[in-house]
Amino acid sequence: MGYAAARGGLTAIRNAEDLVRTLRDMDESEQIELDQFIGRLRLLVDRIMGEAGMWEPRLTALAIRQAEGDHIESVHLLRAYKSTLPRIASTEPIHVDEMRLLRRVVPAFREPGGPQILGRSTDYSARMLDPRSGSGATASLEPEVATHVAENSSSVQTNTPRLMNVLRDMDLLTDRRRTDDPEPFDITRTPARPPAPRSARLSSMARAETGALLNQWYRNILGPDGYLHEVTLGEVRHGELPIRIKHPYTNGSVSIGSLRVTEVEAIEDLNGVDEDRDRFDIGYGLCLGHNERKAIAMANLDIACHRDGSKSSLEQSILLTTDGLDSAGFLEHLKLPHYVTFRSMMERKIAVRNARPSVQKGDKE
Amino acid sequence: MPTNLLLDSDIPEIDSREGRSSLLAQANTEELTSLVDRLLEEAELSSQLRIVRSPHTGTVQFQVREPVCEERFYLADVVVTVAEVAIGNHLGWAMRVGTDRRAALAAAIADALFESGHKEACGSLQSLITVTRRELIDQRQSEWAQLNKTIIEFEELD
Amino acid sequence: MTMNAVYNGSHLDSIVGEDPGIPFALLDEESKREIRRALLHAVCVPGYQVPFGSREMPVARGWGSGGLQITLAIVGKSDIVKVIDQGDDEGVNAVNLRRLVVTSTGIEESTEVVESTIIQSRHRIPEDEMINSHTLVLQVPVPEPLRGVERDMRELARMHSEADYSRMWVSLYEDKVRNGVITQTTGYPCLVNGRYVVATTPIPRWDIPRLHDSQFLTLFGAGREKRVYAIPPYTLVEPLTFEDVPFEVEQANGAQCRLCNSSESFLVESPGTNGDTGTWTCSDTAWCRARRIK
Repeated sequence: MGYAAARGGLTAIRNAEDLVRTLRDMDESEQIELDQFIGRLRLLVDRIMGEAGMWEPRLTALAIRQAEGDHIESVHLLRAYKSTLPRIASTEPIHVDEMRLLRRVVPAFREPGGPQILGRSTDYSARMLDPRSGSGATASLEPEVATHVAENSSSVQTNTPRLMNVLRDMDLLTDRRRTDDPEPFDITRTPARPPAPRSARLSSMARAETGALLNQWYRNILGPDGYLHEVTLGEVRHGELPIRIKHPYTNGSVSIGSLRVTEVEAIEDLNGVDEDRDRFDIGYGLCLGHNERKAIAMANLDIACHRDGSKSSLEQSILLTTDGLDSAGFLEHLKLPHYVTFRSMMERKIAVRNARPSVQKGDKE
Repeated sequence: MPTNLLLDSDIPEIDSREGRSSLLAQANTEELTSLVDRLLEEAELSSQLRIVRSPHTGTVQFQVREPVCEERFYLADVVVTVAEVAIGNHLGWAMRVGTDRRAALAAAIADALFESGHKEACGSLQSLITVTRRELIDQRQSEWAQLNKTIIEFEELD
Repeated sequence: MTMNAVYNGSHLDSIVGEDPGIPFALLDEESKREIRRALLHAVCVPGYQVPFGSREMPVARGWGSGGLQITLAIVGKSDIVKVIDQGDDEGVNAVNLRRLVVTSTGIEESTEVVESTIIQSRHRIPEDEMINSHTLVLQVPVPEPLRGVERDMRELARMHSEADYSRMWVSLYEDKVRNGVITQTTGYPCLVNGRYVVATTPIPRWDIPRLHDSQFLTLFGAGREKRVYAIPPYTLVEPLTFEDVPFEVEQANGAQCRLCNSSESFLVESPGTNGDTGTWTCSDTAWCRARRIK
């Protein structure tokens, strides 16, 4: 076809891409293997899987390596990949009570019933740079193979009640349990716009950009929006949930593996005039991987949105401004050529000037 | 009260079809594929094998039920690969997390072999899933042994 | 992620088959069908912003992801695509989008309007005549024409559903009174089919008359905001203005393209430096080139 006089745009783009590839892949250092990301940069992989809304550690590692560690770019690669895939099925509804705990912190009680498990955490570590970290020199010996522990572990995990249920038993909780079991809102197929069901808000926050959610929270604490206040955390949990689907022949349940999530319960003191002053309510946060910052912000925003009853702009902010790809993409589009629009703007500046009474025009000249 | 927090609560059983599928989904890739490859060397088996749906990658929506309103919502998508085969008139199906088409195919063949009741195949596949099951339990136990040390022990108040 | 299907002693390898890989036109078939359904809805209700489940594309949101999804959803194997940005086929983003369309479909590309069936554009409508065999796909950064007067989405939905555009009229009136002219530059708001006010992407006012009673179908895609809308052929498109304030397109006061001497096309200015006077060129580069050859 008549594709005359290519003026070098394509060549420049190809060369720019080549420069990225070459400088990245020909670096003097060793190529980073994918399992190193998964094993040694666990929290980065977790965060990116969450924001991509996609569980697949290996592809995530690949995305991070390809994107030279840029986290928005990594999320973009994964979501664009997902757009090429057919949707095969939904899992069975997995109740979060099925979580196998890897960590559990309950700030609301000293002895909440069930253990406080610090797990893999740096919460109480002094933040000091350690030149030996990652070298193996700081690792302790293999933990003893503790079969005796394993025996009582079943009972420990079984006897770990959720703090929400403890408060329910004490009749200190507003009961919002539904029995109608509405179909969840699918934000990947229908854009979520206010007013939206809670399932749309929870899905949106689960894959929101972590920093955006954190900022939404803090902006409501100290910024111009005061739609929420500080909560007491009931549960902060990190653990595993099974991925269970229906067997296509037998209709029985098949667990094809598991994924890790972070879960938070945020206890809200209901202090509004029309609210239940002798009970608490609870906000809920759940996101992929180990990402407590995100889950805590989510839980706090969930309850704030519920109390708000779609009266303020909070829901719109959550649904529309927290996606990392939306905000970053639009910000960066400012780098594109805009000379047609700018020409039109220049033309109107002259038009305004010409429309002014001549006295004023004289001032300018 | 949660009833499903047992460490081994969702460890699949070996004697049901669903349990076998679960274990084949989580079996070590290398061991699964080399075993199935070896079983296929038997000419009779390979001649009876038919691929119903060749292995393909897609997503599964991960649906959770949260505890505040007991409502469901979609947390994320999981990337999976599915395959379907038949050996004679025994159908085999598999779904594995990830993009490995070869492993999904191997798991589907293994499922069909179990169904066909082929003696030698069933024997070696049975040991593969038994090992897989053992490994799942061992992994959880050693994980718990590490976690157990991070539990905050409060001095008894009473 | 492709598998080597050559038999090398492994039975599995010999039967696993080729990875189907990336589908024709990138998106999986269900997604394309869904976008087409939204487009049909949009054509049936001219100017109405139809929500759709916008997919993440290999280009960033704000970089033409909405237009790209439309093109990929409607493209067939016999289509010929032209992609422009600011009127230029060689604009870097046009090059990139065209490359994606062509490599994911294997279809032909062209810079000539007359040869093309799908014309995807950012910020311009080509100067050449377009007829009913053409589909114009416009990339839309901000689909909401009323956002300047209202931020709340619930209220915006109400305003559109009740055709309550009073605040838009007030804002145009205030603009005229304060500034002597209506200062709205590109993306001029238009009433479509006497019903819905739309944002005309940001195409210049110069291009607006082309949308009215056109022979061709125009599809608007806003990927980030997850909206599509349409102006079908032969539809009434009226720029919002007052009876005694005629709608004005961009003026360039006798300026001519330094390449083809045109004064009847949309011209963009290259400012002079060091006291030199600036020069003008056609923004539609293919049109300008054709004129020079004639």
